[in-house]
Amino acid sequence: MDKSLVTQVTNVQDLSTLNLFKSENFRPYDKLVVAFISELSDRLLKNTDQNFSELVALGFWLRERSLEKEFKPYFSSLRKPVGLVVHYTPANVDTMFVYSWITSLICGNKNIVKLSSLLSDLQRTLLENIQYVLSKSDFSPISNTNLFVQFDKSNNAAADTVSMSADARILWGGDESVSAIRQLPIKPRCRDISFSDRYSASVLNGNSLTELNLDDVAGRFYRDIHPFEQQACSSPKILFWQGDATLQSAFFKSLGDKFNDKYSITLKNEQFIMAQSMAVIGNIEDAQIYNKLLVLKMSACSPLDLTFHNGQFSIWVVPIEEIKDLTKYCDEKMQTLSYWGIDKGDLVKFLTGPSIKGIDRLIPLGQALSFSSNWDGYSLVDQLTRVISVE
Amino acid sequence: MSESSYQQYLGTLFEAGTDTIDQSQKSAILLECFRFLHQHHYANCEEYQRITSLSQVKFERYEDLPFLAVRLFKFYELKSVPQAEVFKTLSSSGTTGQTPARIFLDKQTSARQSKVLVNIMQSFIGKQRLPMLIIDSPAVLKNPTLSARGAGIQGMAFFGRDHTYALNVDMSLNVDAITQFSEKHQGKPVLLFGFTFMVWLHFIQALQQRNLQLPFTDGVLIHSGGWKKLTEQQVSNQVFKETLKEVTCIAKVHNFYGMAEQVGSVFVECEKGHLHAPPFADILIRNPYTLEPQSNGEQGLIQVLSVIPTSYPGFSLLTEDIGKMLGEDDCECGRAGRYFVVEGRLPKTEIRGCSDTVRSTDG
Repeated sequence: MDKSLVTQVTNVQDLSTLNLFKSENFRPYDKLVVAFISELSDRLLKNTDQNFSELVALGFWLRERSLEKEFKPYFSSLRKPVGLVVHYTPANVDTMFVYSWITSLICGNKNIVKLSSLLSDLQRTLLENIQYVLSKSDFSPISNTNLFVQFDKSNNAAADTVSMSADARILWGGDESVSAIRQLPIKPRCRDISFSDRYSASVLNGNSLTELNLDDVAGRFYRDIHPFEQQACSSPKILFWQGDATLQSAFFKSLGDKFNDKYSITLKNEQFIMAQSMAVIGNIEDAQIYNKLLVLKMSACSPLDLTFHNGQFSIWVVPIEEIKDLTKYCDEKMQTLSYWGIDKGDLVKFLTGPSIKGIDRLIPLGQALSFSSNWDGYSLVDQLTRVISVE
Repeated sequence: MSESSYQQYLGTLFEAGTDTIDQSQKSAILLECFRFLHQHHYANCEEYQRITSLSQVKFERYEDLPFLAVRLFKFYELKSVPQAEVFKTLSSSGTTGQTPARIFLDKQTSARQSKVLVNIMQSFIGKQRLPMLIIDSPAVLKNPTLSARGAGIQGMAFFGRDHTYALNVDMSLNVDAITQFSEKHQGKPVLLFGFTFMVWLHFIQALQQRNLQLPFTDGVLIHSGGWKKLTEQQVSNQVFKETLKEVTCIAKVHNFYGMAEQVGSVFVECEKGHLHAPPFADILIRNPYTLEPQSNGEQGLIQVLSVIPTSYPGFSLLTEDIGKMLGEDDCECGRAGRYFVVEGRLPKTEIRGCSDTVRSTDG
């Protein structure tokens, strides 16, 4: 890949010479920024290889209309960008960092995106597209204020300098790496937004499932678990099955049949190990294979230790009788609950109960991976702007 | 099936030897042993019981036997005897940073391991104990927790006498010891043993660099431990053997395939370069994409079966090694049973997730 988009920081002095530090911020929802994002959206939607469905989804989210709906309402009140936002991106969750970067950009911030030294094919393709659009002369004010950097693990000076320059930091990563980044020096008023280890689940009402709607529901569930090989934190790993389980096998058969792309040589062995591990721990009643999918039926009421679930197209099915049975499973690590066949009002009522520590997001089945600027319990726009109070 | 008939079957296998028992006779006996072992572990190891309750178990053919993921032994302490009867715990060396497997041995299993190893090895190197040069440093045995490397050397030391260690603690050649050994046993039958990569790096290459030539025209080298590092350096089995012959005059070389999870029932390479299943063990190849059994000649994951383990539920294991079955009862070396080749390992799983900066927070 052309290195000109990604700056390799070897010498800290290089950083201070960059335009980024001298330039002004944009206004929130600036026209030029919106124009840039729209072009990036067009390019992703037109030029993307079908194998990168994640990029198509991103392109779709970046459309002007969807941005308007997502962000416009925030800017009816007086807000200003916080200044410079540093984004620490994960090695392999290929597109997530773009969502937070774009959100920050729309808020008017300058950005430093710290990339991992190992980029996936998808990330490479994504960065090439970003670079293509950013290199247009019209957008030079944007390329001057948005910096993509890589630096060596051992380069503490670079890590410290970048961190110290931040008015807000967005930390994607596991608990350990987030904690490590939080050891770096920061300005006293720097805002940290940490996206650490989370997992997600779905809840489905078996009583509403029929032979007629089963395939459609399975299709929605597939959309939630297939992207990023089920490893995004908003992909469900657990399926709470409420009520009648008569059509459960038919549902999983239909779901399994939807997997028809090539898969990794390690997948089946990993699934095999997961099934046997869960049997050793003693929580499962049954393990079934549906094509590429592993379905483990958990005993009712058994505790769920998600450290044993590493994606791999595996679903832990937990039977429940009523919504309030979810109580003991909803710990603070649970991020998204996607639902089908269940009244939203009932779920909201359940969620507001004081004993429920988890679930930052309730969304209809099939949309678990659609990003929103309200994420992991944060309103990103509120975090990345200053709300000006005028009386 | 009772324990006494299991013991009887084992007796038959010990008497049989590799040349007399063909695959169909052998699998009939082994299946009876596995039926006993399954019942034994089912009754004595709760974890084994829960795992094997997940699927149907039959004993008509190897393909229907239950099998455990070899990695489970890294995660869990699996045993089929009370802790009081555990007399030795073996831990696999593993790659640095990995959790080692822990294998719990009682006296019977441990004794069976030795007895089986002796039976197999003697069929390749004869019953006479030969002067033995060990391609390692004596320090490897001083480690209080028995590593697989130490245990391997201890096990093999039985086949030799006048044990001499060829390496110093820092893995450099102990030239004095080697010279003394070769002067004493020049031209006579000698036995050399070491781990494949160490033999190549610290012995063969070190001898080459020093222009040393050893006179073991009647020597035999036994080595084991995997080819991964040598494959990375593009050293094939053939190059290994040719170079060995140049620097030591040794023409007889037997690699063997075995693992800490099934110590004893090793698969030894014959004169034709094929790994052979001994009377006490067998293999099966499974398709990595389906885990279904594969036919001869198709590459897949190696499942290893062994009649030895009663103290831990490890008689049927799916390894993460990749190999190919080459044939059955028809190897040119004359040995009966299945023969195969190991061709590599499953790649490491790529774990992706919102939370995977752990391995790559390079900043």
